[in-house]
Amino acid sequence: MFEFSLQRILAVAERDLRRFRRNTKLMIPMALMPIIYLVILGKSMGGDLHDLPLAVVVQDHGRAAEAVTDRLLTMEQSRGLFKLSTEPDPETAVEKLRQGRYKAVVIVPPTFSEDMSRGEAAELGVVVDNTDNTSANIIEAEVRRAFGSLSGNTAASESRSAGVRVQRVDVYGHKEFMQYLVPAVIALALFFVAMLAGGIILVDDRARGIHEGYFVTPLTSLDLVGGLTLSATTLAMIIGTTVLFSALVIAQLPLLNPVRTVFLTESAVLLLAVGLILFMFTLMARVSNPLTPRALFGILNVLTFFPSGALYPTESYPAWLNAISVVFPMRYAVHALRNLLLKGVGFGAVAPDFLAMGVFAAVMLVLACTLFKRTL
Amino acid sequence: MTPAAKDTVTLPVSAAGKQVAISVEHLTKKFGEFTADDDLSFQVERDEIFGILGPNGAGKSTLIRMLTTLIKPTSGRALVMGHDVEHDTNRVRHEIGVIPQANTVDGDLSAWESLDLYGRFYEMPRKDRRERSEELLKAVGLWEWKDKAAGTYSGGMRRRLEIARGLIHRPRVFFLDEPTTGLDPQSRRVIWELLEKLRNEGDLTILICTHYMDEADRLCDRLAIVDHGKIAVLGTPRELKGSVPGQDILTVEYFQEVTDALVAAFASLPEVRSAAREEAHTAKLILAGDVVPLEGITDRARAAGNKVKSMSLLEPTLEDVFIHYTGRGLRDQAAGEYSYAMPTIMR
Repeated sequence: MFEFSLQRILAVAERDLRRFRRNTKLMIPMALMPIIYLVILGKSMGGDLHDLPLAVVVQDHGRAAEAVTDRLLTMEQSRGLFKLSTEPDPETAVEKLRQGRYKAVVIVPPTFSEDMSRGEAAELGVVVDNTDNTSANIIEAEVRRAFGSLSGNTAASESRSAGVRVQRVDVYGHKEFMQYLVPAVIALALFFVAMLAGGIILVDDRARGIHEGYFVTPLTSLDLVGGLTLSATTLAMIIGTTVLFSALVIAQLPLLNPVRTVFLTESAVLLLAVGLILFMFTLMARVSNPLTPRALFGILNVLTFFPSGALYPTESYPAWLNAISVVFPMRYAVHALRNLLLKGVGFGAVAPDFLAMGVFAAVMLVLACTLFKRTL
Repeated sequence: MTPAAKDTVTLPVSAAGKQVAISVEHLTKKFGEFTADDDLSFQVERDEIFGILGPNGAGKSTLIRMLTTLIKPTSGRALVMGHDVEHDTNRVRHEIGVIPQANTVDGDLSAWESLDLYGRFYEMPRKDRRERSEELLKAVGLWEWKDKAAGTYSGGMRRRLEIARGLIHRPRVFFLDEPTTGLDPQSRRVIWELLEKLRNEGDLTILICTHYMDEADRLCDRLAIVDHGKIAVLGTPRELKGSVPGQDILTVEYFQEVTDALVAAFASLPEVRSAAREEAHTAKLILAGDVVPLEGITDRARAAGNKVKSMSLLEPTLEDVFIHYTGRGLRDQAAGEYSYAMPTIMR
């Protein structure tokens, strides 16, 4: 059982190394992947947030209220953390927050200056979009720090210090961390399906000669790409739907307006699946080595998923990473799924995301059909 | 796009007055500096089996790939059932069935599913697909295996499935690229019989590429010997063998010693060009034509008090033809492949 021969071991090792030597291109992704991981993960997670859209509603015209506004303006100009706007009343501001235009709204109530002058605790309201928990926590913490806050960041938590009491309001109620991850895991599942059905199986079939058999029939490039996209999309819808409902149960995420939300979520899943599958077809249009899609798997995952805002807000990305992020549909899918599943929004709120995913899919369809090699 | 029906294009007519199914005119294919096929020209008449015989690397597969629209010619022109293979690819694809050199069977599908899939590629009605699939699977002996995944089939069964698949849409031209390579003798024989049956049923032109001389000899009405991308010679197997200097040689073994008088008697036969004693009991007769003078040989032996023990006829093989026209043997390049010529033995 433990008998061995050094010569035989060396022979096996040599054979294996020869294979890599003759496919040196395949070694590039292996060496490149950790570096890309380092750069993309390093810049997409844990980076400093900036330009977070923040509204301020000043209902008090006293000196203390002016001081609050001045301090927020100073924070905007000195650190670039906020991008400050002024709204006339809390209702308008919160409505815009629900539409995704603001990450938080700071409300200075009418009695703020008066309370301060009387030496009583003056309330400062911070209404946050808690479907982006990272941004919400950072905004709350910065506001507390700026106005002398104490610890505590739970929904409707209160703190009292130096006469200012910061009150956080989670506009969507309390959310568990696992619930924030539901959109991310759906998007990730669709990436895996696209990689398998759109990349690996496609190239494997080509290497096995299946396509050579097809090419002598009247099948056109569009027939092939269309048929393969349809089958891969069917698989993606089955997997996506399974993951969606499993995640809803596991994360105990209740849906607002369930019928509409499920319909729109499935639509987003469909658009993302088609886009990713056609993207894989485009990349693999002329690849014949079955090892290539496997070697690229990790890099593509990092490039498309991590800069999508699935795990960390896109507001933390440097410009170059943001440029990568806006190209891929994952960002729009995560944004749409988060809005649908955590906020229960209607079609209007996710229409721009749907449009972006649709445009991406259309461009990929043209590219895939153009690049797909119909002859040997 | 709607499928192009098999239309009634007026086919060119050969010098022999027959319709031409495949017309190749100065066809050339280059890969960079390498010329795979060099200025090929020939015609395949309708309903004949035409062979392309040559060693590996001679340009056979490249030729078949150009004719089946898989690759584009560098220059020249080819028509299949009157349609240009470069500019009228859709119509060509409706006319042809193809068995590529590599195994292209989808191992995940059963034979029945595979035929149904390809039938749908040609937009055949469901009823027609089912009837045609049943007919073909029975013809190739896979009916009992029709529901098993093709991945479980032997090499011969896969090849037969490919033949059935290539014929599902009733093509008028059938291309086979080395259909029996790698198969055992029994499987090869089954495929030969299948192709002969197809030929006898009519309305099917077959172009077969092979490096097996016995296959070309047995199946082909005419064949072209190609080497280094060029056609060395073209004709019927009989014509080609007849074109090689040296005729059929008949070796006759006797019970008694062969005398000079008996040799002279054989030489006087009109069907014998020359006769000589090879060994004490053996005479070698070079025949003047196709006819073996059996009666004359036995009569003259009996008159000399001798009796014939055995006879064997050696005729020129396609290997001899290949060597004659190319200056080297097929085996030089097809080393290790199954390849031999079988003499006719009479005993």
